[in-house]
Amino acid sequence: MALSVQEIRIRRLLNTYGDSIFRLARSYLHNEADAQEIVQDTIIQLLRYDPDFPDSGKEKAWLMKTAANLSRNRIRFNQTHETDELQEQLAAEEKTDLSYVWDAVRQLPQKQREVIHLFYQEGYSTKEIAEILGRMEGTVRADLSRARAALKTILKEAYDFEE
Amino acid sequence: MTLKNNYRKLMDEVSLSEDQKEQMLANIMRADLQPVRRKRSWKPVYAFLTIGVCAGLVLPRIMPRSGSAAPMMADAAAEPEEKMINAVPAEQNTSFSIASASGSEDSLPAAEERAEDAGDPLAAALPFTVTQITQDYHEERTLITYEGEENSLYLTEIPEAVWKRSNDSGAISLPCEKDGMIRYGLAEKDGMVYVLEFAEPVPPETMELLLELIRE
Repeated sequence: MALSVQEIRIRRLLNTYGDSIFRLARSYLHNEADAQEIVQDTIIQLLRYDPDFPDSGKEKAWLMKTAANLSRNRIRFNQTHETDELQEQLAAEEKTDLSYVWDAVRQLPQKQREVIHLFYQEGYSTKEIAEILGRMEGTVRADLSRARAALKTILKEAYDFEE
Repeated sequence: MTLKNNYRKLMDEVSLSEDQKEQMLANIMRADLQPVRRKRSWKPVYAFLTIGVCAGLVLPRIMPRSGSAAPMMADAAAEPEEKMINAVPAEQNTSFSIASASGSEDSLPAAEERAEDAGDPLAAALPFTVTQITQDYHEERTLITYEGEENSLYLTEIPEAVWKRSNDSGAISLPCEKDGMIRYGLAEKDGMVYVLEFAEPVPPETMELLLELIRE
């Protein structure tokens, strides 16, 4: 069966950016089902608005920005509608003994959490994070610094925070 | 082990399975993927209108001030007659009119016609009629075109600097004399050259007095 152009495009988006969007959404929502919906909605938004990107880096940044906005909207929606947030355990928690890291990150305020995720997981610079989140770079740096300090206090471990 | 490495290790375990991706693909394909019609931005329209309104308000105030010789030359034809006539003292009992130096021949009708109209035989006997004066500010010279008795055309260049030297006050004059009486005079004020045409010939002293008045 021949694949349509649209289908090929969606597959490419899912395979290339699906995991990154999913992880970002999970870092916000702590809920796998919600995070999957965010992935879907993000890709739908891309297909509907069909923006022009000079390179794939910009495309990923656009998707991450959209996913972050959708995730925040979902958090507000959940708070307004008093839905029970499913406190799902990360799959990783059973495989590795790193659940304390996740617990520590979850204690951070949302603004610091998203900066930590984009900086540590996606490897964005503070400038890129500022563009994605629509904030000043100085604010991002301050949030990152505060987040590190908070994690250091929470974890009380001898992590190397210089990176 | 850094926090960054641990966080990455933790997150790398979080990924979409192939089944989940297939399910998402199916969901996305079912969704309404009609392109969103982008909203027209009115910013360029507002900017255009703002610039237009500002230009309309500001430019008319700026232009007359920034204009140099050209507007002055153009205004001269309409403006100075009354002013100059008022400047003539009543006891002199001398009337004159001013033709602009803008170069329009209409503003300077032939001397014969005017003399006949005025019934002034002396004016008709004048050797020439000034028909055009062009002040060239870029070249700092004045071109005077006048018609001779034989209806020939002469072109005389008189550098403005020479005129000014002849009159230290800045007012310049080139009286046209006939039998010791002045019929025409040229005067400069505020960068404009005027042709003074006297209805009756005036003695040189009167010419000097008029020039004094013009200077003031």
